Amino acid sequence: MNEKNVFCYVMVAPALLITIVLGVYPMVDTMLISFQSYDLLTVQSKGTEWVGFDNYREILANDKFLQTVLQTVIFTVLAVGISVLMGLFLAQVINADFRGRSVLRTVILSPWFVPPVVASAIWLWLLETNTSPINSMLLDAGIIERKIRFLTDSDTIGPFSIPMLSIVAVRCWNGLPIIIIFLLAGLQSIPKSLYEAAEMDGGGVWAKFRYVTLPMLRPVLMVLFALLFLGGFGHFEMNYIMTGGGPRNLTNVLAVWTYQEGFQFLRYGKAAAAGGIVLVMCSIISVFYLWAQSKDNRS
Amino acid sequence: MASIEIQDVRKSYASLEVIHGVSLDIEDGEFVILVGPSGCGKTTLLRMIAGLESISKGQVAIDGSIINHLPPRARDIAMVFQSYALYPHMTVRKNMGFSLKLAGVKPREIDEKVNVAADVLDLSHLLERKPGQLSGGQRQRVAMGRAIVRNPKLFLFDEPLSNLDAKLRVQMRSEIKELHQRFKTTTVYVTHDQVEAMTMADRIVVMNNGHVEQTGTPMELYDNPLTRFVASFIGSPSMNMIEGHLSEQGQFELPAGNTIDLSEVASDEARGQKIILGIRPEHICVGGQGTSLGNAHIRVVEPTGSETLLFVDAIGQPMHVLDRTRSTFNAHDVVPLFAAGEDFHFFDAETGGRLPKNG
Repeated sequence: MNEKNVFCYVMVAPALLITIVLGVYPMVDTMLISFQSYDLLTVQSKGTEWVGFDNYREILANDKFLQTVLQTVIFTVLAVGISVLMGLFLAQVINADFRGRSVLRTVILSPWFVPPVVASAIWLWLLETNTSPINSMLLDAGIIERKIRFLTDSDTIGPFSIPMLSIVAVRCWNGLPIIIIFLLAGLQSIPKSLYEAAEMDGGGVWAKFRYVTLPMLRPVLMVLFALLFLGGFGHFEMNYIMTGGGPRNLTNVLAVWTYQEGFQFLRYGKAAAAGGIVLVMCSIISVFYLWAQSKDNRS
Repeated sequence: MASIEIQDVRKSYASLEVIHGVSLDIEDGEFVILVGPSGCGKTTLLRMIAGLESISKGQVAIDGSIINHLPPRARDIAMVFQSYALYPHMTVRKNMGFSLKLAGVKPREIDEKVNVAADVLDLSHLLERKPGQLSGGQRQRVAMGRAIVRNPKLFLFDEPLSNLDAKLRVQMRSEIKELHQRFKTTTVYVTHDQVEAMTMADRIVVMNNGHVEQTGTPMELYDNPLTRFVASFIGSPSMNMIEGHLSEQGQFELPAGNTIDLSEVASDEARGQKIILGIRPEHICVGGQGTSLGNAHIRVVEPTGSETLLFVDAIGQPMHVLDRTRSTFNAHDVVPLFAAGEDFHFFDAETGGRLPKNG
């Protein structure tokens, strides 16, 4: 090993150490726990017996858990889909040259300055049935006849419910700015001459978006989707703070379920198994992302 | 094919006017080149014809119909950009067929037209490649293919050869000219390279500071430049400009004290004022006959094979001399220079306008 290599390893070592201690070790340990009967209430009397896939079998046989898995996917798909669509639109708007653009930029990006926990608290108040100013405005305007129970209505249409959509809306609100920043950077890297060429080729607004903007944003969108899906599957704060997974488990997601299973019911083995499921879901996204990226590189 | 009428076209950015009333008629099938230094407004004028820039005042008409307010897509104009502006995510085939696809042409017909254009441009073997896998010259051809596949009324070229190396530029010059001879589509071509303009154009429009200095065939501009600017811009190496006072007797008095006898060629109008005498480097002979320009001190010799460019100090100023006699010259040689009176150009020292000669 020459001097240059030693220097490189020394420089990388702190980051590597932190990743191993705070990332790899807990993950491996959690996976090991997921194969053990690890219940904090009985751990002293029964110990941590190796039970293979029993924890996985048990949670996958639990309807509430399956509902939670489905909801995690729905929450993520809805939040990612809606916010990326809105992001595409708003990024184009604030990329355009018009008077008052900087004011609009500040307004659109302002939710970014609010941490998710604070955003949850703010929206918890804004969406609380009796005190909600949104309800008051809608009632005053005559749009609704009775108050909407944004976070407590347990009626459902398929897997969808008002609390679910409310939390999705808040997640979009809070997550939108970073998406816009990503897309804006992507938009600004598209040469203007491509749009001009498309105009000369006979393209209107839609053709320019469909055949220039979207394909040119593809690398940014790929990274964005991968990040948002990975983050979305592990999302915790808003669902936990705003509804705690209720009503009737309708807003529960895997991260909240895992937290409750582990730290409320102290069933570490099952919580770890739920973590294992999240890991599998994230791995699928990662593999898909890497495959798409290598396909792009090949072409 | 189409004719274009440009009438008193002006372009302003806020209060700053950059094109000051350009008027130009381009005939059906003509190859017109807009040439001028950077910032003279040639690209802006081209983009106004394309519809990519709005027209502040005046009007542009194609075949008699005013197109000022039509968007680019409604003008039936194809444009080749300086950067080529090929869609990097599309194959050559898709790049070339894109305009037809947008126009709703059937895929089979698009394929046929693309294949024909690819054949003409020798691109058939590259149709499934993406622009990133092509060389500069190939990209340039694809950009042209994208334009010709549409069979538009008008071709616009915005400095299309400026990103190519010198050899390829020469090759592409002749290819573009050949294409024009084949398709006879009206073409407006922008370049800052006067050699491109001279070699390709039916007619050259020399622009400077947002207005047209002179319009004419390449040889008209070369032989009879109407302004000092055109004289120095057209021709390579550029014309030698010698400033001095022309006496009533026709003696051209130079600041260094020596005189040149121009009594034979100087018109009455040119006499008795400060003028600029223009002589092209290729019209100056080392030795020989004609009007004597005195002895020159050779500073640098640049032989190119067919000709030799000499950088000399003569009549009190640096000058260029282009010798085609294959004589041998050495730096620091002192040689006599002569030039024929009919090759002299006179310009007003104040206005830069051309002054008449005798004969």
